[in-house]
Amino acid sequence: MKPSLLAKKIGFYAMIIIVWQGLDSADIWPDNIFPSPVDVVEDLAYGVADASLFYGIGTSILRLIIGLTIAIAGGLVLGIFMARVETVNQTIGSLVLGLQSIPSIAWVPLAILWFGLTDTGIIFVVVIGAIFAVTINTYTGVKNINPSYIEAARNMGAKEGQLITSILIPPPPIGHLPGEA
Amino acid sequence: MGKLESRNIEKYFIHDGKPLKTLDGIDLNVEDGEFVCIVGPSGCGKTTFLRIAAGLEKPDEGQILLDNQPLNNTGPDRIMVFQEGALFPWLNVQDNVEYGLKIAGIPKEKRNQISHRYLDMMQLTQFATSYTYQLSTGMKQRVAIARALVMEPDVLLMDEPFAALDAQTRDLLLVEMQLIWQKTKKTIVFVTHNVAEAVMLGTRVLVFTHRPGRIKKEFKIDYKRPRISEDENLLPYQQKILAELRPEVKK
Repeated sequence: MKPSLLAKKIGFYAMIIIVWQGLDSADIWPDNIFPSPVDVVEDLAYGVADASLFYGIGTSILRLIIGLTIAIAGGLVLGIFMARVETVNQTIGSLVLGLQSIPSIAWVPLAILWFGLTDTGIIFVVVIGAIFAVTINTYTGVKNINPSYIEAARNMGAKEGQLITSILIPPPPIGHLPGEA
Repeated sequence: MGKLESRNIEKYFIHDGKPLKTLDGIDLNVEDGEFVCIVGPSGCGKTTFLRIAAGLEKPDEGQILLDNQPLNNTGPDRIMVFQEGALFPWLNVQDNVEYGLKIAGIPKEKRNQISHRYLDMMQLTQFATSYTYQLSTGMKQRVAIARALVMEPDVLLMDEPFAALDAQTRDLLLVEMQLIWQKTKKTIVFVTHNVAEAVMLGTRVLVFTHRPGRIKKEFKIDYKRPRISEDENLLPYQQKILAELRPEVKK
């Protein structure tokens, strides 16, 4: 009989734990650098007992939500501007493209320098890590909208603001902006 | 003085870095309630002319006037029906038809009332909640026409709206279009490459020359309605128009 998928997975992770425990027992590294699985489980239990684990998770999620909200809002505005105003695309567009290729980890030293070890610094890194991707995807999405939709809307009296809210921003079931996905 | 007036419209496009004259002084006077059809060889600028009349494109020379007022932008007084319909795929049929009303800030209840009247006229009521991808090409074009009619425009600009339809559906819509025109008394400018279509619909048919487009000749079509495609009495009109059009197509 072939082992089930679940059995394979359990076996795989059990092996990792065994190797991990083995390495720890070999005493190659001090415990504060390489704790044993048992130590980790104990710490996890402490975290659950005094709820500090959940508090930590909550804080992280909150930072992500704040950071992503800023990034999506900023990226949408920037992306739509870039797609609709050629000068903005030619100037800010090139900068966005350049900054986008910097991995967000590279912003960490700057964030610490500017904001210290604060929430603001962490949120800054989240924002900077996401905003350029959202911007570029929004730009691409808006550029790829069938131009006859825009013409039809203008023809029926839509002003630029109405164009943005009714045609350019993703209308839920069949959105055309993959940036937020 | 007509409803829609075109004065010496000229338009150039840039082709291989050089200006290419597309429209060469279009002078046209469309009377209120007229149904004007424009036929011409492909690339003669007939669609460009329609787009200029709609305000989607700027002329390099000349002016478009509506009720003697010069125009230089799009406006809900001139609604265009596009060749591919240009329906919004993320909206259902009813929301598509109501789009222009919503943009104009008309309250929901009033919008529903208006859209239902036109959905009914176009026999689309039972498809009100369908999405456009669920419709046949013929139904899509009916939605596009309904979407234009709800705006109650002064002028309806139609850019080969039936080009993609199969022959049976087109025959049906050609008759419907005449009934709608008689019922609504709209001023219509209709661009097509199909002479039979132009003769069935138009009170007047204009033949454009090969690029740069000029009005070569115009024909009045005085014949009872609704005209049907198999009516032999329409053939002489078609022949006369084709005699003008053929040399242009060959250029």
